[in-house]
Amino acid sequence: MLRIEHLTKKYGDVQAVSDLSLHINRGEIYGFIGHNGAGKTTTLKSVAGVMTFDEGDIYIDGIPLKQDPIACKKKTAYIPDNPDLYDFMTGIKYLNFIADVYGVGAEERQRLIRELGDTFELTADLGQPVAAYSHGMKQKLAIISAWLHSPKLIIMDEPFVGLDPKASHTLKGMMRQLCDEGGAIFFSTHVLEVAEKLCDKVAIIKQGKLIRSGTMEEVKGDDSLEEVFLELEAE
Amino acid sequence: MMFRILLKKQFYEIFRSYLYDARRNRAKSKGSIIGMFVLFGVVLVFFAGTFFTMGAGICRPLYDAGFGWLYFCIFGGIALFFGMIGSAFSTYNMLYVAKDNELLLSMPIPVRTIAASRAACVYLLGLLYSGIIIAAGYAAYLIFAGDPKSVAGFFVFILVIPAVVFSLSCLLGWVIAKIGARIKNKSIITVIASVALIAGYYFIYFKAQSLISTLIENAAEYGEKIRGSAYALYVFGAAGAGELVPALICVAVAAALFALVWLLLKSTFFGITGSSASVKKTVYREKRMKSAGAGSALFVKELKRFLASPMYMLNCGLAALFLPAAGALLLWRGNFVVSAISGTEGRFSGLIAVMLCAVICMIGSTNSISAMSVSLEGKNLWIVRSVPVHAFDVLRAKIRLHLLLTGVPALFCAVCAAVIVDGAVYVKILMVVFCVLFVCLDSIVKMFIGLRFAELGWTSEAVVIKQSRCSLICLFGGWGLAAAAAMPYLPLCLFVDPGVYLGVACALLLAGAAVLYSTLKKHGPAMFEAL
Repeated sequence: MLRIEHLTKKYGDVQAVSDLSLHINRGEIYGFIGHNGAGKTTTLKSVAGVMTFDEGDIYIDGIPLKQDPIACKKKTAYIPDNPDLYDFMTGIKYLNFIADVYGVGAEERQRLIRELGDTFELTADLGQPVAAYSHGMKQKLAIISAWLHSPKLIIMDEPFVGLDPKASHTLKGMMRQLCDEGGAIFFSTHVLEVAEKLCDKVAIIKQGKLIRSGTMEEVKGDDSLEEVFLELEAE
Repeated sequence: MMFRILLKKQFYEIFRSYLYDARRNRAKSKGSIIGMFVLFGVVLVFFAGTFFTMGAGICRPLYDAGFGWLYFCIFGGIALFFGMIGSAFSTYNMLYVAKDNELLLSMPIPVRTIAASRAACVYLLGLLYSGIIIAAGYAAYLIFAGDPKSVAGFFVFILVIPAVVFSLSCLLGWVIAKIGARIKNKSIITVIASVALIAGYYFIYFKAQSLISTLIENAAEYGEKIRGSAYALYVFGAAGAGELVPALICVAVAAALFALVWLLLKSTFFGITGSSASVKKTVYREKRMKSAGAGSALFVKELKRFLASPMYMLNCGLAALFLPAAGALLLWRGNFVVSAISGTEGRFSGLIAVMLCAVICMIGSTNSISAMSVSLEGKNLWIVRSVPVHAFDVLRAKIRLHLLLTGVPALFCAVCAAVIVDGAVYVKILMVVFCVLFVCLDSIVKMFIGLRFAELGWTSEAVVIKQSRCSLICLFGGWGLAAAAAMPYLPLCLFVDPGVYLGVACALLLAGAAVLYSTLKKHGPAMFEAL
């Protein structure tokens, strides 16, 4: 579903991501962990097509991102770490905007907005301006907008930050369901317990380089993910 | 200490785009910085020169008649007025609407220090606008009237007028904040109120010229009348002329006003910035949804962004109102304009068509929607980047809004202008075509300016809209473009038919717009992606 080949991204002289390669198959929830400034967000933004990269290739469902970014973006959804949405729109207008851009039909969007809005208990607030939303509500709106066009791959940067326990639980269920239906999830998190329980595979990045990746069992063995992560960080 | 840190942060935000290239992650070249300051200097000299010329014309007759105080009364009034116009519309945003409000309020910084740092910027903006006029007025007085006593008055005015401008601006900002917290559609109401204020300003501005002429012609009569019935004005003027007692009175009044406004600001700042707007909560009721294309969605998004911000509307889109108003004015008082330009003998009748086009283009060029909309994406930029639309479609939506809010009003105004001009039908048609093509070219040029000088990391819209390099370049670049399109006809007006000139100019504008559009299509997406 997602193939990252030798991704390299520099900020001036600083190498944020260096020769990173990663493959994510359909049906996989892939966790991405690393300390602050390790290069997680840069990688996720590059995959989402939000940021250009210097070297390497990214393929989404076999389509090269550099050559056909539009086709790739049609199959993906991206939720950033800090959902800065359009403050000047109401929640429903924002969702309508996203649905229009992705070409979601009127009836389909109506159904999905109703379903997803009810799932996250946000329906009553959709008439409010986004500016009046709390961080958690904005996060819920960003999640609804991501699921609105039935993407094949969802890229999320710290998706659980700001969500209440119920919404976190709901999101985890939705992530699993999307993967069970043949989609894939690539997300970053600092909550290692969540990664351990939720992810099929995990990758650890340090100073822009991938230092370990694979199935959860391959990465952590008999230890906890936290122990492995701290050990690798200390090296 | 804390105040200095906050002020430094404010200045850093304002000057960052002038001194630092965020894209290349390095300081700007010395040449670029010097060039920008030279441009600033030219603008200041032009602005000051206008008032110096005005002062030079009126100071000597007033001084000779013993009405030097009246000169300072007039100049002080103008400085007060321009200072207010320059800072009043942005005061609300500068004081209360900043994205770092919560961050600063969460820190162990006294609220009054945060308020003071914001207020200092309002004060400095007022000082800049009014100070230039005061300096120009005194320079003219010293040179042409040669009264050294007035130097003392300069220091009084430079102390008093910016303080009064600050006080009135802050009072207006506070009123907007108070009203805004209680009403829906406050953006539109703020714009309507501001437009009413601007209309009043222009009314007074145009009236002021004839008023000043009448005052100077009858200085003795009006001077005595003002001294008798509006003594405060006399005191104000006399303070400007350097008289001790009036100066002390003015300083005391300004200081009292300043202190009162500061007390109000200090005591209400946290209440306004620290509370969310008490807009009544509306529960969403599901309605039947309609779908639209991506292009239409992007355009509607740009329109909503525009309508959501009074500062954006007032500073980047006011020509949308001015052009129809100018068109209506032409239909109403067109004959007066025509006779004023063509002269009594009609020697310059050919000039009218081109000059009217120049004025329409000048007004139209004050709109900078396509340029400013890039920077105003700010932290939302990731949204249009992550969705499956071509970067050029995003840019095209911005240009479409610019064309809608400038091209359509310009078309109306140009048609009105064509109606009042005596001339062949083809000249009238070319006038309309010229104006529309100019707006097309201007919108694309500004798109490039917006992409080249984009500032995305702002904490207050005011920094982007009023204080950025982009806004400065757009304003003077637009006027320059309008002048370049129409002014070459001035030396040719006696020999070249206006139709011929407009025809050639239209061809050049069309070619320029086509080339730039094609260049934007080719390089614009890369520039946008690189932001």
